[in-house]
Amino acid sequence: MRLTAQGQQQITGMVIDVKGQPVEGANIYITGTLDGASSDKAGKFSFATTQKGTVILGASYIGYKDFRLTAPVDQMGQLKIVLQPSEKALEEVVVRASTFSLGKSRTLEKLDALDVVMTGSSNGDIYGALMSLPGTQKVGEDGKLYIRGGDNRETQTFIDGMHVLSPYSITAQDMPARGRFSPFLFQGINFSLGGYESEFGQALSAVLPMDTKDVAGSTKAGINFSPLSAGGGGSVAFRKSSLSANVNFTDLTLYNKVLPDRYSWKKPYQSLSAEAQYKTAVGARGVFKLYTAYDRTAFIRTFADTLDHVPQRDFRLQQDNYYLNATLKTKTRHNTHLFFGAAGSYVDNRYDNARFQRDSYHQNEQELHLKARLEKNIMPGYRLSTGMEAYLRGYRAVYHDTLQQRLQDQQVNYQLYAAFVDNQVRLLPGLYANASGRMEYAQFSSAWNFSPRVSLNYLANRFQVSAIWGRYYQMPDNSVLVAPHENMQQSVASHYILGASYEYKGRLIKAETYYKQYDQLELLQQQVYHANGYGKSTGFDVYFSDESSVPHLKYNVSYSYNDAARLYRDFPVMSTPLFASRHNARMSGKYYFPALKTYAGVTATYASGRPYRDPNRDGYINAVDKDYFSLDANLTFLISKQVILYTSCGNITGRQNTYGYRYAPSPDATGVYQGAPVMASRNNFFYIGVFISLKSSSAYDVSSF
Amino acid sequence: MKNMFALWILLTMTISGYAQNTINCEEQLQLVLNKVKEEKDMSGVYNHVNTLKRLSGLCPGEWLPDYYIAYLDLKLVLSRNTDKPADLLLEAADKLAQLKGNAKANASEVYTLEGYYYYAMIAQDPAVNGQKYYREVVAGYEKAIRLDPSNPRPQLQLAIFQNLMAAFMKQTNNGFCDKLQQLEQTFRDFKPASAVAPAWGLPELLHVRQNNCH
Repeated sequence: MRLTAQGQQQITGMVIDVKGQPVEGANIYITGTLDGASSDKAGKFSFATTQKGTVILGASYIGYKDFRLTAPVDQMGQLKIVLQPSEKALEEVVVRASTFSLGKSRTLEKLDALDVVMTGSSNGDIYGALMSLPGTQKVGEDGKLYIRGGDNRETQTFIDGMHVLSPYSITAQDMPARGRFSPFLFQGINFSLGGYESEFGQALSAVLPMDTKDVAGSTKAGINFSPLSAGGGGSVAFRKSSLSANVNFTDLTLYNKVLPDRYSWKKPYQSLSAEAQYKTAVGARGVFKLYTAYDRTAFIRTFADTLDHVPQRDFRLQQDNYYLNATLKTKTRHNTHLFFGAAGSYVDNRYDNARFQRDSYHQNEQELHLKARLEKNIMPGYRLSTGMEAYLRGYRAVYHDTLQQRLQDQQVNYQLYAAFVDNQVRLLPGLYANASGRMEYAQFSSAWNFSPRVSLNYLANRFQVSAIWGRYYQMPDNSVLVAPHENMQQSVASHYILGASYEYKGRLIKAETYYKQYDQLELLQQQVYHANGYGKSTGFDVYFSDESSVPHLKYNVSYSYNDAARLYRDFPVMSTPLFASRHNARMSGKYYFPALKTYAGVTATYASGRPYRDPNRDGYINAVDKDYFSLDANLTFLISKQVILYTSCGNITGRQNTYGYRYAPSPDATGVYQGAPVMASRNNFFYIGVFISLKSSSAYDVSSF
Repeated sequence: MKNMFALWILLTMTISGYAQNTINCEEQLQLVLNKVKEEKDMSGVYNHVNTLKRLSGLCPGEWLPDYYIAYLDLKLVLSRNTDKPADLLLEAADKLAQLKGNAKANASEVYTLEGYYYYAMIAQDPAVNGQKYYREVVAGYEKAIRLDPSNPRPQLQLAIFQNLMAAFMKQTNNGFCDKLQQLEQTFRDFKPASAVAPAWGLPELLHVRQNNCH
């Protein structure tokens, strides 16, 4: 300790970390004063103070816990300050197990809207892009998400935390569906393939929560057109709010003329989709969002079920799909996060000449979802999230025969109420536990169900290992609830997941193994549904991504193994479900050619053959189809900073992929069941479109939101 | 004894409050900013950032110390005079979040800083981060302009960024020099709200014009 000429005290010392390495740039100071200094490259510091007596010396540097020393100032000579690394705030902890945090977290699995569009197999569809990730199953004839041996309805979509009843566009038989929502609407997607938080219920396999962007910062507008579609939209930004809208019209008339598919169309596929969102800041810490989407799809396809001996008819489909979602997120002065949401879905399907010429089938479904949630750091190392939600659902299906007589009128209405609690605790440095529970009351079955979930995660700097166990409930499909049934209960799935990941300089490797046990699945016995079904799905996923080894190249490779079997629906014995193939592998890459101002995306997808039932053989699910392979690619040319030319080709090699076989319900005169392979309506799909930003300052921004 | 203890607490609180009140935040900030101006070596700027952090602790609720901490962090990152850019970016992001929740802060300046933050992110790895963050850069500056059309800083930064984008697209930005010319006047017309209010940008404009416009 040295006294300066002016009576000042000189404080000197050194700042190091727990490994003994000097910390450069740390701020060392006497609290409540401006007296202080920064540590140099060697971690050394020195400063003078006029303070007398006992003072509090502080030292801080980002990433380390604040250091405090209370002592007489004249004893602060040659200090040795050891900074301890700070623990991440619980809300910052990103657990990678079973989850792909796309565009939301700081992890490598960043996938923003342009990544979605540039994924070779996506065709600009979010669900198509997600199918390049491990754990997904290629089901080419319907295009929906099938996760780790689970059926597509076991994966549920949420926008800003609120449920979407029908997230896919409707299509003709064996035509793959697409997601209804523009990828440019979202800033983050947390795709969980299992073991998700108890906030998300009513999903047996996976959840896809997507967060819309915040209030738009700039006013913009854009249009797009292609031989099969045209659209446009834009955002108007105000001081604290913004209003965005997007409209797209698709008509396959011209496309079918140039590149006809296997079907005969009287009125080719047409769809009109529109979405709009109003967002506004509420106070300094809140944001209110109102989002609405409408889709109308219509077509008339002329066809005959030759296998069923049903004569030719003009099958006409018209769907109107409405969605409205309002959310308010805010934070109180005491750092309590509050969320309130309401979402309404209404889907109306009308099928004319459905089974025979001049009959009709009319079906509608609606859902109101209400949710409130509170999150708070109760104390350092403990974060609580709790809330409640309600689902009010209705379904009606009416069938009129060819004489327009009502042969069937089925309907069901029910409510489901739930409360959930999620406790996240830091047990030790780097070791986090999560214990949560969800209590549900299903009015349909007058039953209470409890879903516990426990996870343990160890997060080192680059390495993570996680173990998760959770139980999840889901109501059977409405078509089951309106059919004759006895003692129907919610289906249940228990997830056991063990995963590890390692991230190093732009490269990420993940490996996970899982076991899913199903119970209370719907099972048709003597024409009556019971909750007696059960099943299991086990397997592992391996994933590697790299965005740093080769300049301008970002790629990922994954392999998934799955072994699934179930006794459900009309299965007489435990069997592998028809959608599940044992081996799935994918390779996806995106490369930027600076000289050409072009992005090229390529995806190769392989799936081993899916099982199917051949009634000409013994047993139930007794045959395996040939392997699936598809090579998909796209090119994005940046013609100018306002104009993008986008072109894609699905299944470049033209391989005739099949998805099992359909057979006649009864044998022919020779005693053979005639069959035909299930195939997509076309082998290849080509797309070329132009996207124009109407705002001069935009740099290839095709987003309307 | 109890009363003595209460008196001691009261005195301690009063003295501590007095100590804080005696700090003239604006004056102190002016002193730090003057030192920053005089600093020859960019790497030495970080010492002043630490002084600003101490000042921020003494002036709770004031937005300018936090603003300058984030601004100088980003300048350090962009000058490449730091071997810890990730730490500085993290600190800047933290300060930006605080500024957005501070009702006293000039929103136009805060959103300028947000655009600048994403610009610094892109500069770390243009090939990877360019596509990820270019929209945020443009949106930040445009929002700042909308909030205060007379603020020259977001206009200059947007013009510079668009010029860089044009170069990336191998295009020529014919209007760039005219824009700089026009912005010089906007800078000269701009009257900062106080002696310590954000007023940076003009030297950068002159430097960019010297290098790009002949």
